[in-house]
Amino acid sequence: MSSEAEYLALPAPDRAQHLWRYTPWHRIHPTGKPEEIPSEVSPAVVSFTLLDGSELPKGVSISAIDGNITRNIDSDVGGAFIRALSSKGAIKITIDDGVIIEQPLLLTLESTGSVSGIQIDVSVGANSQSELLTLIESGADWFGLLRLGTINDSAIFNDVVVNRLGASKLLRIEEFTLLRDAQVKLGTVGSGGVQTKGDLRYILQGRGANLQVNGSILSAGNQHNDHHVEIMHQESETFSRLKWHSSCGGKSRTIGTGMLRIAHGAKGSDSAQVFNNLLLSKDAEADSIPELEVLENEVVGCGHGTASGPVDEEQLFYLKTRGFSDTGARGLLITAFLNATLNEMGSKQIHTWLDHLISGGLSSLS
Amino acid sequence: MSSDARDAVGDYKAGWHDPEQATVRFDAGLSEQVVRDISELKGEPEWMTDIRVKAYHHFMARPMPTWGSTELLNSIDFDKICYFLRSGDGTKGEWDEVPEDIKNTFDRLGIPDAEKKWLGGVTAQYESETIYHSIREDLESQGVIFLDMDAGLREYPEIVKKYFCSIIPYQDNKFSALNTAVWSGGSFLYVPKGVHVELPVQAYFRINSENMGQFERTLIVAEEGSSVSYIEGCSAPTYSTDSLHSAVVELIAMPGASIRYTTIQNWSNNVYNLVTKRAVAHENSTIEWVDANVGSKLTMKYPAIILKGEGAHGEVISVAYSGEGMHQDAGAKVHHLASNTTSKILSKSISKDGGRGSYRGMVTVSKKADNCKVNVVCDALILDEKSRSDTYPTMEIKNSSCRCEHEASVSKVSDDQIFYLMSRGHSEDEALALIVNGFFEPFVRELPMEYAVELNKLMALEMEGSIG
Repeated sequence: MSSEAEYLALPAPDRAQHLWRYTPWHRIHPTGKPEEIPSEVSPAVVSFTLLDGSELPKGVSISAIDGNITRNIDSDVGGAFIRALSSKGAIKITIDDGVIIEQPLLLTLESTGSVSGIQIDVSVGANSQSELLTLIESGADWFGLLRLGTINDSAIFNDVVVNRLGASKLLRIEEFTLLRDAQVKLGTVGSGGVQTKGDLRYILQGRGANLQVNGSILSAGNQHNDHHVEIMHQESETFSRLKWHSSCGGKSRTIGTGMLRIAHGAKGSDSAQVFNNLLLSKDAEADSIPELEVLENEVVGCGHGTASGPVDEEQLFYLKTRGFSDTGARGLLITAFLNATLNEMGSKQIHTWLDHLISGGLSSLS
Repeated sequence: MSSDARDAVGDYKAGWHDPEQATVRFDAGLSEQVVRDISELKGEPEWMTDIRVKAYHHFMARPMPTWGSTELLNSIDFDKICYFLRSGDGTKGEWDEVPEDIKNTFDRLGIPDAEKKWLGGVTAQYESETIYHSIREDLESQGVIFLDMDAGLREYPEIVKKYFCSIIPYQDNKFSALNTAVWSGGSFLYVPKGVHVELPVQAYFRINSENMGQFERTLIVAEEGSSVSYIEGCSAPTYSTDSLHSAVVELIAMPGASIRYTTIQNWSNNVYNLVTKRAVAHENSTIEWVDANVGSKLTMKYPAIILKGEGAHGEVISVAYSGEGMHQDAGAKVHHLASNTTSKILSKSISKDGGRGSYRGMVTVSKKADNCKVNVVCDALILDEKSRSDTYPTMEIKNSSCRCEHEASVSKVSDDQIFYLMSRGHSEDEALALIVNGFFEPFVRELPMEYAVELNKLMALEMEGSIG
């Protein structure tokens, strides 16, 4: 079956599923008509270097691949749609076993035309140490990113995806599988795009796998940021933390839905997820659905939390007594709020780069 | 109770049944004629018949929910259920007038004794209709109306018509439509302005027959500045076939009023318990749902509060116990529609012997509701490797001045805690029962003493043999 036929054969997603509750499929679809697959699709322009622009080191490669990449889930409408759009646009990034890279890798995806999409298969070798920073730059009105990753035994891998789209829609679908003793930090920084729908799934398949997922979302204007994060503990002694911080200004809306599932037999799992929302204007909205499904009783802990509120008046008052203007004090508190998760994303090099990026976006909030 | 019956009932203390002595029993199955026959039998006004018929058609047209325990929901055979069964010949005002078998049942459940000692009024429902009803004279003289719902409709049609279906329309969900179509029994409680009902009033619901459907309808209106506490309990015999309990409860707290609604749900594990409960709180009023779910095969129940008036407060405190073959899908919903409203949800659940406990909740804060405060806490204990716990909370915040917090945790009973208690001389079972009672303590302290003691005993019984 062709990719197009595979997509068209799938039923429309049910809004009773939390994945599609706040952003129904037709809203994120490029034409708003789910039965359509745009015929004119521009390929993404890909650049892959070290963060300072120098060439890739030995043991890291990028190549075009034939065929599609597929997540192992039922009725994956988003994934099928991106495959239908980009059946000739799949690439593979490989980090060889044992490779240690001091400087972060920078993957820039520049979209062009009205609709653009790409599939990326990431393979991180055993015992390797690396960081990957993916920048999604503006261009197309609609961009689809489908990523599939395998983090092999004992690899240490930091991954950060930054959405810097302009007035575009982004559909981001991904699935990463962590094997034995893999240590992974996955970060999402969202400050661009007018509408973002993320369906991010992480599977702790190897004993001792360790995962930290961090989100730092800066919403302003009419932005709509909807991220669904699923973490599945399938093996024993696995560890996960999810921290998702969203600040919402203007008339923006941020949505964080999560599913933390502890499979039967995943003894000694330790997991937690937190969604925090900072509401900055009277028209901003924040929605959270942090779900838990625990099928194993021998767990170290399993919990979730969510909190939503405005900038703390006492903190604001304190900063103003120290000489800050109202705007300056607010900016500082918002930066600190977003930094709480940015700080956790990868090395100091990445953090400094991201911090600069976020500070530049604060002026757009009101 | 015979030894065979005792074996069948097991640890469930309320699982015996009496021989059925129906004076009116409808054939199993649901049709428009059944709905009209129920209405005619009760001599209801035309508007009620009309709303029943509309609700019936809505029920038939509406699909089953696609969330929750869909497998169990889809296994309900609505054609096998009896939708109306009358035992005895009407509601009595004295226990001695109640038929002997039924009186013995309620004696064993401790209802007449409780009434004498600490209740302001009692309603006892057996199958489809109330068989006993009483209220203290001093409350009656203050204008408090406490009747079964059928009598409420007969004697105060204007009040019932004003509020019936006003909080939960029949179109709300499939089971509120079913209840509206075939409702029978339940309580009607009206508390006049400024009256404080010091002693709680109680309703007890008993299903006795096999394949029975019980569809009570309860309406409580607390006028301005009044207060009342209502307690309901329920139980059923243990059969190999399933029964259905689908109630609708509507509460209205006018400005400054306070309503506490306590439920101790202890259905046998062949009962589907699919209940819709919702309250509206006007200015500076308080609604409290205190909800224990320790029985049933499947419970789907999410007591809701609509905080409509400024300064209103809502609380839902609930516990759930899921044993073998049980799924407790319970939770709470609070909707903040007005400014300076506050709410608190505390949910505790325990899963054991393959049981599944699910918290499903929703909190919304509307755009116009300034300075609201919300606190939600869900804790779950899983006692063995066969059991399961889920948490599905939804928070929708549309106002930036709101402070909303939610936290949930799932854990097991710590070996250290068991070891410590055993070192102080307790057996393993006792230690576990103590820990479980401690886990439920924030809920139990909200109950009247008599209920708290019973609940603690019940949980201790459930915990026997849980370790080792």
